[in-house]
Amino acid sequence: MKPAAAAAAIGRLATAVCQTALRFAIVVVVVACLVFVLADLLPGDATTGVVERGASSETVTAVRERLGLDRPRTERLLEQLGGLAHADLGTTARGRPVRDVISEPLARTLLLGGLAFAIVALIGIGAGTLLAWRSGRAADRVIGVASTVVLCLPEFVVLTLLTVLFARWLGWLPAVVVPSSDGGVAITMLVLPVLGLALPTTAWTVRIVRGAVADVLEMPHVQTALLDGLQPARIVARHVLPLALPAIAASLATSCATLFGGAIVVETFANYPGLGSVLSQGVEARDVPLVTGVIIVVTVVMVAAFAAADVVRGLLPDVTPR
Amino acid sequence: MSLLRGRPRRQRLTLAVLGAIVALVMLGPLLAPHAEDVVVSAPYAAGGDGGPLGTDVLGRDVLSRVLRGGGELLLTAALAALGGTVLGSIVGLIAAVRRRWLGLLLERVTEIVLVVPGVLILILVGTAITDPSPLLVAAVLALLATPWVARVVVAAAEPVIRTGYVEHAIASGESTWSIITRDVAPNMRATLLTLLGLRFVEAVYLVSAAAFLQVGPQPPEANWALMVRENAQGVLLNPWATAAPSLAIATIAVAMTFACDRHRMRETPL
Repeated sequence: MKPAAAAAAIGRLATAVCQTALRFAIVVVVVACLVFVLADLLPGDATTGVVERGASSETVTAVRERLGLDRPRTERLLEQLGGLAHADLGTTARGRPVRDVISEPLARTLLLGGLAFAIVALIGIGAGTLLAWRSGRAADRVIGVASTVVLCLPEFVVLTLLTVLFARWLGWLPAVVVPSSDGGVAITMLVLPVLGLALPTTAWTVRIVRGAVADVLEMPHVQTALLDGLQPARIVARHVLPLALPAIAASLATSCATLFGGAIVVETFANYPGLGSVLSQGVEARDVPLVTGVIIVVTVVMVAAFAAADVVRGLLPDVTPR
Repeated sequence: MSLLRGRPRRQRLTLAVLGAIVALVMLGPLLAPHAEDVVVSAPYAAGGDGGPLGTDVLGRDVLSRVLRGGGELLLTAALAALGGTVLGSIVGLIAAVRRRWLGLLLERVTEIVLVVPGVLILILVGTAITDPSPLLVAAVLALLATPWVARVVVAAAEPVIRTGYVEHAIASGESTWSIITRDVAPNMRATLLTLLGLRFVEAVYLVSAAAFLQVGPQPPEANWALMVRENAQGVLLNPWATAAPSLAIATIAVAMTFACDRHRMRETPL
């Protein structure tokens, strides 16, 4: 690549990154505002979770003052947004910083979700490409039906059925996650939750990739390459996947949201100490700041995934027919 | 049944399965041998001791609870799907026929709805309201689905709107509402029905995930998703206590997805 072309490419990348960053920063702020307003409009606030049932009205007022809930709405919203700018998520109803409460569980959820995402990306792209290449054959039809069955199932349903099969009938894997004293989790305990989480999204990704790759396979330059007798692996790597990538990247970004939502359910089922258990506690204690904090953190992770997909799309020519 | 006549065999099969499930869920409470909160034997008794599917964490009959546990789930999901599809179709058709800016606004709104998993929104509502009613859960889900449906409808309406008779109707000054209800929507029946079915599958997913996280139904209510959660710890003792409600949710989601899939494949441009 010539220096001038390289500079232009870097410039394009920089512009794409900046534009995407700005657009998604706006999304984070809007979501933070919406979540705040929603939590505020709904009856009941963090006070309900802290005070005992039947506490005197003085106690309730005192707690409200301590939590700062007696101040005007706009003041609290601005404070929360200001805190977001330096990664401060506020304090839980019990008085601990939200950031401290969720940092470790977030890391564990990212581990669970990351492993699941690796499976989704590898198997989704691999199997999807293979099926598009062999479209119409028996494997294509069988996996087509199988993926339709799996993709519509809630993760906890898949996990239940996997657990009954592998833990109860075959006895190969442990049924629940039992963290060791230092909070570590053995790898065998992660297998079932990761599979339960990954399977529905993998099925979905296989279908999207199959469609995107099949569209590109019909394009003239690929047909020419096929007729020229180029090696299939080379055609796929050089001429097919790059063109199918924007559609695949968009789909993978969407699956991040699915995986995150699913992880919270799967964690509760498997007793895995991640964000899901924090949320469950938050819901039980009616801890609104904690729950909104988790939602905002998840939003930031999601936005990062979508931004990455957008940058990929900005770099490559989008020729996939929609 | 006129509904089944003249359709391909596989679609007849999926529709028949769907009908059978709905009938079973509706009649289930009448068929159940026990009430939902009666202890019939020791906890997690294997199948055969207490009933064909054994007992759950508290020793209640699993079969009876499975037969009683689907009604609210299906009804909430159906209301959410119907509400979301109707609202989304109206917004989408208005955007497609008249208001271009509405289409642009939809793009931005879906972008925001896209980044927050729906389960989290339901959890937020469940946190602030102690006992959200099924109606409220359905309303929240319908609102979340609206921008999605609207976006699909805008895209799908494009070819219909470019037909001569719709252009003629627009040019001759017919009202937007009359163009939508008389010229455009009737020609999009297949798309709208498919959307409704897919929204139903999605709503079953979200309602059951939320119920699993105890947003909505509360114990000792019999509810499939809640049953899976309550009995998860005893999966090694009586697997049917979790497997049976899971299979019930799975059957409904799969049957509906196949019904939509068939439909979409047969769909011909009008």
